[in-house]
Amino acid sequence: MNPMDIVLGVIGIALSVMIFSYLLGDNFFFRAALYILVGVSSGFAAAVLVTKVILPRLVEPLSRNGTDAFWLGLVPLALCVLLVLMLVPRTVKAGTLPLAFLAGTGAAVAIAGISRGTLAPQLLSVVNRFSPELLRANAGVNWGGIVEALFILLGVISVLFYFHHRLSRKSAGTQRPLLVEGISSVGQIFLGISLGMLFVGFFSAALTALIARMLWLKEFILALLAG
Amino acid sequence: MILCPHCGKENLPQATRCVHCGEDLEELFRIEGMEDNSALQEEPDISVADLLESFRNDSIPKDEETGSADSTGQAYVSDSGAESNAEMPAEEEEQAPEWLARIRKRAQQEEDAAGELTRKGNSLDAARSEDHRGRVDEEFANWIGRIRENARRENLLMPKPAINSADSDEGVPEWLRKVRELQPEAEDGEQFAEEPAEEPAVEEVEPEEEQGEAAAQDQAQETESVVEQTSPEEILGETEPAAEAVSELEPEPEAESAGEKAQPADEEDSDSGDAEELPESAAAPQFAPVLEELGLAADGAALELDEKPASSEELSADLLLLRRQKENAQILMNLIGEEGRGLPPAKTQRVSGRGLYRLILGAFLLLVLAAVLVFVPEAKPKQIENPAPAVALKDVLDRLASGDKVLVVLEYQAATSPELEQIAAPVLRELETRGAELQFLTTHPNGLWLADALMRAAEIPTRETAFLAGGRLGVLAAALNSEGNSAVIPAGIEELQKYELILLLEDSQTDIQNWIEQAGPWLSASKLGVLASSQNEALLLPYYDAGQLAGFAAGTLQGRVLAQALDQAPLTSAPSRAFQAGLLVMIAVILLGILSKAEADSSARHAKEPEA
Repeated sequence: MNPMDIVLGVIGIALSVMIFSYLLGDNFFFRAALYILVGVSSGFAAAVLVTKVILPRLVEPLSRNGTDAFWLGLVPLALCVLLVLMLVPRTVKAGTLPLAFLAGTGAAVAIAGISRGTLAPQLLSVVNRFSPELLRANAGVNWGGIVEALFILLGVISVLFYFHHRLSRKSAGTQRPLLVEGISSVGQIFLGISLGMLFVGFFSAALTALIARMLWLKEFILALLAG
Repeated sequence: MILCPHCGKENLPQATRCVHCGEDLEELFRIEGMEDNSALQEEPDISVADLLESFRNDSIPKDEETGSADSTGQAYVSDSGAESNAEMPAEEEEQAPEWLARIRKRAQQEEDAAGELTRKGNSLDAARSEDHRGRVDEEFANWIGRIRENARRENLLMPKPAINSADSDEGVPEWLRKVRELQPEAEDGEQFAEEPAEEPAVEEVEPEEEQGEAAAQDQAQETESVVEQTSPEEILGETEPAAEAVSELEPEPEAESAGEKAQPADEEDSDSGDAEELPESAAAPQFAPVLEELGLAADGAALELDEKPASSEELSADLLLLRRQKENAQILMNLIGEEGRGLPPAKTQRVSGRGLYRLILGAFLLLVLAAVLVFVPEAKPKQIENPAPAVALKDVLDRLASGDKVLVVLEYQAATSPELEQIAAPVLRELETRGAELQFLTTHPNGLWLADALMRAAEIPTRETAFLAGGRLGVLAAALNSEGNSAVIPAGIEELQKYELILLLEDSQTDIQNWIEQAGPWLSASKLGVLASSQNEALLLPYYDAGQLAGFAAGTLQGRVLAQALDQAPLTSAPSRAFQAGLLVMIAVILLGILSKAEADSSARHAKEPEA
């Protein structure tokens, strides 16, 4: 183990202990470790953006005077200048133009993507489970597929009931019919199962990271002891 | 400075009453060397006229004695000769108090030492006749009385709490008597501090009062000094029109008393106070020129004319109004200073003991994991049933041939890199073995150096990692880059359709959805494969069922299954035992939480039942 590995390992151990100190509550060492993380990440991201984006896509085209890239490069340059003007209180409004452009474009792309990439395929997936061809697959009635499709349909409808009538009850404060209440309760069960699965996934990921960190600490200490 | 005998605070030497508590200062015109001031102490409400009268009586004892002798027909004869006249100063010197003797002595030595007031008083005595003296004093007393009455009316016009039926005979409200009972040792002035009805008045007179208590003290003392230094004749000569004007404005006593009673009731209404202030505001301009002639500032006349309050309560209320004004001004200044600053963090009330529980659970989990890692040997991985998404991804990988292009997209953070490296390293090694052409792309800056760590872990040759900026927009641009010449796409990255497989290494739902929603519709379903952290399994299943993904493996368990299916050894020292121990600890914690919550709910239910 070379000296640089030892130094980096000690720094890593110190930062890990500082993060673990959160078990004692919010304290200076925990916050210091967070600030170091945020500062290093921001600095690295800024360096990457300058070298990978600004220089090759903004500065380099503008250096080629008279070319198409030069004239096209003036557009992002102007937007950048407008963004920089937001630093001056009197010209804050000038920065709304590029921000509006970004927000509008992002929203349009997101809506189109969600409708085309999630809503429509998922809806078709539920509907297709009741297609006669699929149900009569393998030369007979696929009862397992039918039950599965019904179960999925029940989940979709009950969850929709739960959300819709939960909102309407909040706004109107009226008592719901018993049938609607029962379907909403079923939807609540589906939601609970989904959220439980999400929790398990998050905990598994965090536990894996924690185990990996502890394993690294163990190996580092063993390496130090072994010389 | 002199100290108020009532409140013990300092006042200017010429102050006639304490600016802190309003008490009359009996040491008025204390002259150095004067010991016997019993005459003044017997009459605390001494005025300039009385003082001048006392000076005059002391300076002309002979005349009075002559008069008295004439009237009685006794011993003293006016023409007793120079002898008796020569003896009189000596007798007077013996009979006169010490302070008067010192004054006379100093007056003989230095004319100015007699003082402006004494000189004016002497000249006044010499100027006016005996029969005119009484009228002058009467006029002066009337003038002072009008000024005091004006001050009393000013005080009455100040908002005061409504006097309800519970008031005592002295006009003291019930609440005030209770406060006094609760705080018997509090300062007299502070007994009025909690008066809620004074708040609007504080705001109304705020521009005048912002000068603070010090300015008010100075104004009051200057006013008193002006009154004191002005001789009665001068005052009379200058203020006869003013007296007439005051008498014209002065309402009838019955009307005043009625106004006193009606005013608090009017102030209970929201806007009746304005109607009550109208006569005062109309009278103020008429007072202004008169008071200016007297040398009194019109803006402070209301307070300055309050030479002697009608009662100690009214005076104290005025002084406390200044104090409240100062406090409100300070609050306003603080608010202005805080303007534009960020809101302070909300102070959440922490549940006591929660930190201790967190410490115990966290320490317990760490100890269990450390013990398992150190003392428990790693078990051999069991042969488990292959999950369908992982099998589907394995089929896609099996179809790849040498030379096929595979785009590996890294979109994970350093925290999840151990998990992702365990899943992805066997797959990359398999692709390298098959001779696939790997290209690395990332949309996160961190991916640039995480890709190197991944290649080292997979033991494959290091390749350059391209950076795709723009997030969702960048992914869409890459999907729409049908000709492969887009300036947005980094060099080396070709049209996405040309890749046989796009392998996403993800730990974020947002990034997964970006690729599925933005690039998926432009790609065939068999080209998107995902290796994700375990937390994303629930999100990936619907997309896989809908046919939008070729396959996926989420978590180390599925990653190990995939590696075994590919005949690749998973990364060494995969801590499955520690993972199982951690899951057991968390299950135990969740069960304990469920039980404690159920018990708490049951206790709460039982607590409510008796009430019902």
